[in-house]
Amino acid sequence: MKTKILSLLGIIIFLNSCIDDEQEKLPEFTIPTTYEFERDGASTVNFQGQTDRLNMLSELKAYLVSGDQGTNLSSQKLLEMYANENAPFEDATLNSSSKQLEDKTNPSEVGFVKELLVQAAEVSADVAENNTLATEGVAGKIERGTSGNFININEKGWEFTQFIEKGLMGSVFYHQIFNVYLSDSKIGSEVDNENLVEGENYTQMEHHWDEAFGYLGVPVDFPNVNPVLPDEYKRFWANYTNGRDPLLGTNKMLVDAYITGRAAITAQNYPLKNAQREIIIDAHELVSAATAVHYINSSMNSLNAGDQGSLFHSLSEAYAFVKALQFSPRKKIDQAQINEILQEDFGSDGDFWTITMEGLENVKNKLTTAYPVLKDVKDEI
Amino acid sequence: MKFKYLFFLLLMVTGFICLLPSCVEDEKNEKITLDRSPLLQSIADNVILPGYENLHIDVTEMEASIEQFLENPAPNTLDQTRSDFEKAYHSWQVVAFFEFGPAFTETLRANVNTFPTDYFSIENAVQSGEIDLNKLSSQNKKGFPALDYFFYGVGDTDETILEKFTTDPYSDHRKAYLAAVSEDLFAKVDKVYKEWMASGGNFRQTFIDKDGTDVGSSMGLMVNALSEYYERITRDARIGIPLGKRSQGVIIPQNAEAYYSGTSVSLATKNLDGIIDFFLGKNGQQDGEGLYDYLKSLNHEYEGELLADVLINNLEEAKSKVADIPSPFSESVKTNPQPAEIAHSQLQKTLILIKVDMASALGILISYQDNDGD
Repeated sequence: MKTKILSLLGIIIFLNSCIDDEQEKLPEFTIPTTYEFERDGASTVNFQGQTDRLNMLSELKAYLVSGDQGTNLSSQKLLEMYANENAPFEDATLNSSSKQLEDKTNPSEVGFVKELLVQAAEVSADVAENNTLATEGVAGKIERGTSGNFININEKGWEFTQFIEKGLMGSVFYHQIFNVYLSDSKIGSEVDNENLVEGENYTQMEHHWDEAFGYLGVPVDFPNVNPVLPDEYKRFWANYTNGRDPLLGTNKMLVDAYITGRAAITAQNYPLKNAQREIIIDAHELVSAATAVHYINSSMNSLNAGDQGSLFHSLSEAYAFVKALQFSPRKKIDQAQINEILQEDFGSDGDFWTITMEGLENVKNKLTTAYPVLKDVKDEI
Repeated sequence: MKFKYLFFLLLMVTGFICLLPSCVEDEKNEKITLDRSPLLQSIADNVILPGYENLHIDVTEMEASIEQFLENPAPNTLDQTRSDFEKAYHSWQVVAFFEFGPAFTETLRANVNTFPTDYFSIENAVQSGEIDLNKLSSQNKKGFPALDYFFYGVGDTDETILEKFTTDPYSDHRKAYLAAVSEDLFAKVDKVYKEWMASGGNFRQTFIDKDGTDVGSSMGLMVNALSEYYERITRDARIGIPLGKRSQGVIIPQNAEAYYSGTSVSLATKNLDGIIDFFLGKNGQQDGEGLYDYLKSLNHEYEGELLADVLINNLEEAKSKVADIPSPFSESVKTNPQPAEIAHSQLQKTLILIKVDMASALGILISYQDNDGD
């Protein structure tokens, strides 16, 4: 594995130097080791809006988890948290923030998310009142193994908390990185990179790049500090990127590209910036595909162990990580295959109660075929 | 001059070769000097295949006696069925922990021994007459635990049990359900056994060929499966959970294995017997090389003694402590839980030896995890 990472680094360095050679006329510039950039002694980096949205999803998730623990959830509150209406958050700065999750969700997903939020509330009420246990075709609560921890699932075995949290990681965070901030309309040649935005210390293009980076949710000195990922950052894509790092080297792969691209923008070296965009999209996609395989492995174990609560939990994770791939503008797995995974391999019409070991093997095969770097690590990831 | 030049050249060439990835791999391979194929072959031929063969014979016999019982539900056929059921359930215990390869693919354990059984849903199905055992949601409505319920739990006395299969308004449905459980159990065991056989799927050869110690190797799969099974079933499901270890000390007697026949202790003892035999590489009279011998050859020590011996002694101790639990366990857990407490702590002690000490001595990464996380 080490050799592979090394050779990969070699390729990156090689690529960089190659591009540098071609761009001899451009001024030289240094690429910092952390995501910190200054102009006239002041920082030019700002992604507070992204951090706000990450914090909103943290609160939304915590509220959903309280439903798993027996609280009767309010569907109104869930919908208000999604849209940031009527001051729904504990953290007052979020309530006064102009940001929200709903209007940044991929349009194809908004209805789906809202249905899930409403159903999560209905089921939590039923569980709180009647202690309803989930069975095939019946929503309710189910225990994960013998842990004493319960999760609420719908009639297909979908865990609300995972479908919503991991779902929004794809349909908001990845969608915004892929289709908004790293798109030509935000960092392409038409975007102003000469003048500073009025009242700010950054150009439009610089800021857009920072906003993409903000959705990754890592500290600016990631991953060169100890601990690599402090506890308060252990969530969403930062957490899963770090989780896949030991086998795939995803931390440096992503952060180096984000830092290099940002430095390239300031130096107006656009070919280098564009090359980093490709690396970033590939690496984000890889993290999601690899995490899906990771949860497929957990699912296989739970299926074998007859532990249905844990099975539905990890299937819910795997489902959302596969689904996140569809937001990539040039995904390596085609949409027809994603649909087949979601609608057939994960049980007929996505009904987890009809899952089979064969179906799980199929998902694994499809993912490792589309992302060949996963082949060597598919059983241990 | 010439000498210097040669030396320099040599240095260059060595340096260059060592930069090649193949050099690194060669160094890695040097560490692995032991050939594990004979060990794996011995385990397959002396333990696993004979274990499945016995189970297959016993389940076949049980199926035949269930057929007779269904034709003529009477005290004598009930007795015969019960005795064949007990025999088959005990044979299951010695192969239960081979949860890799065909047993993993077919989710054998979940299909044949998910307990406690959901008798409430079974009775619902008996009333409606709708039987579908090939579903995920059916795992706790079939297998040995459902048979345990049918032969011992549907009534308080033998007479009332027989009534359920004769004069009861739903007796036909109940008989159909029992027949379906029996068929399903046989089909699952048959499939896994044939997958292992040379004349069938020949997983035996795959097992012998995968002789590394990585995650997907036979050693890796086998040790992980054993440790996970020992932790979750031998320690938790059989003893710990009825004892209240996962419910803040509140006992759950009805969660004992074989709750209705009250044979929990005997089955748990048999399971530990099977695990010990597996370590020693034997099955009844058949005796070959096992993990014990292999571990011994590696010469690993544990507090001044050979780890292999410490392990087997602790397993024997665990078996004898489990056997000391008064039967039926579902009663003694209420009235006299101390012996079960003692057995549980010995099982716990031995788990550490398996999961930590043995696994690391064998160079196996324990890759299964607790599911309690995010």
